[in-house]
Amino acid sequence: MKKVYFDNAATTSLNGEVLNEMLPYLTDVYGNSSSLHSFGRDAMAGVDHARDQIASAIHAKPTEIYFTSGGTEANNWAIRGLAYANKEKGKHIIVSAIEHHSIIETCKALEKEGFKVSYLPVDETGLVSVVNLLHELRPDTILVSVMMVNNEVGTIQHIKAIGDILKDANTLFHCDAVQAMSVCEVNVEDMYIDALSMSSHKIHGPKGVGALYVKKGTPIQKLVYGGEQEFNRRGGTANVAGIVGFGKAMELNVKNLVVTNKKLKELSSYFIKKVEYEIPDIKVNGNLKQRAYGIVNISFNFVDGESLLMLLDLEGVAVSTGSACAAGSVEKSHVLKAMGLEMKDVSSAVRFSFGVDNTKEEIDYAVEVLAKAVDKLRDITALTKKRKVVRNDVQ
Amino acid sequence: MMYNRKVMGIFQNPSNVGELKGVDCCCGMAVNNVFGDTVKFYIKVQDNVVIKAKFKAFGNVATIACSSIATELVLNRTLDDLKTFKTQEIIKVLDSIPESKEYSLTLVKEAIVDAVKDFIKKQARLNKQNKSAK
Repeated sequence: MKKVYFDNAATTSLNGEVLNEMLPYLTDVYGNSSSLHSFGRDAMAGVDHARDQIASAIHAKPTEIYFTSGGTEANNWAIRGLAYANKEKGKHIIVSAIEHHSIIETCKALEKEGFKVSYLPVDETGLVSVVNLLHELRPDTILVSVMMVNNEVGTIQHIKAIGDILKDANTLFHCDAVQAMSVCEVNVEDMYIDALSMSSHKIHGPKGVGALYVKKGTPIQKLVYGGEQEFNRRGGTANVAGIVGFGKAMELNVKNLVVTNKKLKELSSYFIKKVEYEIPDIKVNGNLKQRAYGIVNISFNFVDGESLLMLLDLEGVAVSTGSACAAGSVEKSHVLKAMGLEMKDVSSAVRFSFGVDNTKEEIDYAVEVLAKAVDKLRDITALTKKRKVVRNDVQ
Repeated sequence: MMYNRKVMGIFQNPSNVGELKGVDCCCGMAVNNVFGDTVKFYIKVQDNVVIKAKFKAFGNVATIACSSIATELVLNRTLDDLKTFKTQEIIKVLDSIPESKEYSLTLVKEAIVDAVKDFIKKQARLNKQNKSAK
């Protein structure tokens, strides 16, 4: 059976060059990077080089980069660590309503500890209003967290405008850039960002490694105790091979950013056109002008997203109904709900996320399978029946 | 969350998809307000016994598979019997469904019970009309 992977927002394949860079650290260079002997120093050299690569990619200093187990830990640490270290100044936090679960759930936990959290609404395309943010700011607001690119619909936020306001308000700004690294040119200085979360496996690096950028001089409490690693801010033996792979993946990501975006724009535009032509009664969710080209979120009227996903999977096409971290959860997408979509549109949404390895031929196959699956489910549906449309040629 | 093979098999090829129309038919409907899943359950009744059943469903894999199984489970049973239809009857056939999809069982049961109630009401209405016509 043909296999097509359109779930690159969940995770990406490991780049061959990245694997080659990692291999020595999985075999010969096995020292603990914290050890003082040559085995340890060799491993640490790999970690240091990766730290330089990550710092350079976001225009930060290497000493401002702290490796973590991934984006989720980076987000947990940023919210909790910044909240605890600054609680004497105030206990109010603002986050957007469409943040990743690792931000939302951490905030919910902090609310139980006495912190106050405001969840910023978004418009129907998933955009945070900078004016709304201004209205929510209070004298006791210590932290604002807004993601750069939404993982479900791909909407890109006005990060620099938000950072500018927060700099003037003297409020810390954390940005979850996990989904953004393969899309945006990130400059923490230019965007006035105090803390930034990143993840390796979203940019063709290995899983289980990420990083948190924390601007020099920003007070942040430790989250993981048990060692003086990562400049005494995050305990635990470094995942050396993972970190080395992350560094290389980031270097390649920056180098290929323009070409990658061009390819993803071409693929997603081709896909949207083809789906709009082949399948009636659909709605593309998100912001079509300001979006990560790799992510396309579509509601197929009268069809349940999960059932559609399963039928596609049976034909070898991998997609998702939302964030992979929420797959199997009882809740429907909090992102689409925050965007004001009706429940039927939330239930019928499917995310297609493309990567540089995808081809137009794969899209042709996937759309053919998709059209059949939608037809099949619309024949079963208990909701109002589909209507046929005249099909035109795709340009 | 994983569906077992039996559930997936039925989901791929559900039986008795469609509608039933006529004086001896009626439709029950149930909607899950949280997830939006909707089941329309049609029965054809003769001498107080269900002789045919069909369904239409908008929902997840379990909702479609449970609806399909239920159209077979209700056959040759009296309306009184179906008033107390139990979700365990579906589980018995499907072996298991993921915990997060257990609401589909209740949804299908509610649609069946609603169909029975609808049929009884419809018959009462028809009887009344017949009497007044005489």
